[in-house]
Amino acid sequence: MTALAADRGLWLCLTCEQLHRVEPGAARVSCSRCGSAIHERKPSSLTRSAAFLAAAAVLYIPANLVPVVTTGKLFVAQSDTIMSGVIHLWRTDAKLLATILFIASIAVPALKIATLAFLIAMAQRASRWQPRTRAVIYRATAYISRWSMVDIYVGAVLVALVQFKVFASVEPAPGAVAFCAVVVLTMLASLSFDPRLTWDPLEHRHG
Amino acid sequence: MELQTPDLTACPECDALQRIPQLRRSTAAHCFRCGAELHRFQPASLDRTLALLTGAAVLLVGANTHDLMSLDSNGIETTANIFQTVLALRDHGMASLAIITLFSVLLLPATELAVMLAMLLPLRLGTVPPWLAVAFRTAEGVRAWVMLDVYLLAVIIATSRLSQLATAEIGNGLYALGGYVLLRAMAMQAYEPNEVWRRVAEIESARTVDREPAEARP
Repeated sequence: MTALAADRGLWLCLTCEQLHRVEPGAARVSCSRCGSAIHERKPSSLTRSAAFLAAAAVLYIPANLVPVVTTGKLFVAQSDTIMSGVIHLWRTDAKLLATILFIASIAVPALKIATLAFLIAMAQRASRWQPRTRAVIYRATAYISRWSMVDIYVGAVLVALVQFKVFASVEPAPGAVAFCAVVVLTMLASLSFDPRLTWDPLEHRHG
Repeated sequence: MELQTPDLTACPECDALQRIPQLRRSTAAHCFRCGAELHRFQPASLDRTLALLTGAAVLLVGANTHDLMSLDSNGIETTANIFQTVLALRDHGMASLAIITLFSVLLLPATELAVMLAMLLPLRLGTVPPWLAVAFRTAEGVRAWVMLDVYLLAVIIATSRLSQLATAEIGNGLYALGGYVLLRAMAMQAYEPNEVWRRVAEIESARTVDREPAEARP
């Protein structure tokens, strides 16, 4: 048996890592050292995380089907979704760029939604399956999701620079808003998820 | 209530209670149950963090006051700095994207540097500033949303895409941005948040000793 801080009435401040002895039944506790609110576990972690994730999953559809950018070259305008942009890059022999953008913009958000959904479902069912593997998966998803913003920033730089009127122009299109929302929502989902819920079932703790 | 056993801690990722061992050079303490890193041996952690972030602050100012790159197509030249890329999004009807970009590449990076320096500089000079707790919380809170490293990759990708279309030239702003990203990453590697509170305790105990001179010095 592992001794859990929560079972001894000890709560950890997740901001400054100070341990606090908390009397049972205490309402709103804040850290004596840094002043952050502290909780035994993140409040309604699974519900919040699942809500952010569901919103992200819904928006993932328009993010991929609606064009994110419209490029004009000498009177010819062309709208691209994320995928058609990647294919276009691949065909023009920018294979490294195409790979980076495919991973950051299509694979990572999809993988992240799937793995977080898996982690939430396992914690909800109080599963004891492979907690160490699930901990590694959580750390990885928390780290990589921010890199998906790269597509939005590339768009911003292109829009700012390519303004040669009739010769060439770049305009952002509505799909970009949905895509950006997916990235922010998945980041919020993983920040609301409490990884301690992965481990609690091993010590017969629930919720 | 604060706990009076400073070497006892709970793992932030699995809540297992454990003692932090005495760390030797270039070692780190990991949670015995889930493997999360708990502490890392960092000699002169706060001094190195302060030095690296001071350099990062200078470069961040440079990155915001110089052009990232310029583009020349048929004699028409355009240039862009960080703020202009934010404005471009707004001017093309994408206000929501402009706001998120404004925060993640401009306001939050600046906030992070300001609060970290406002916390570390007084500690270096031997005083505990009244805003220490607020500065610490703010730094921890904004860290995940500072995205200039992602933005740097985006500018490099944009440059190589544009070089097919026109003559793209890298500006000094991009070099400054690269330097900022490198120094900030090194600072975050050197930064051990626990050292802040250890330093605070040191300063406060030195102050108590000063008040009782009979005990303090021979």
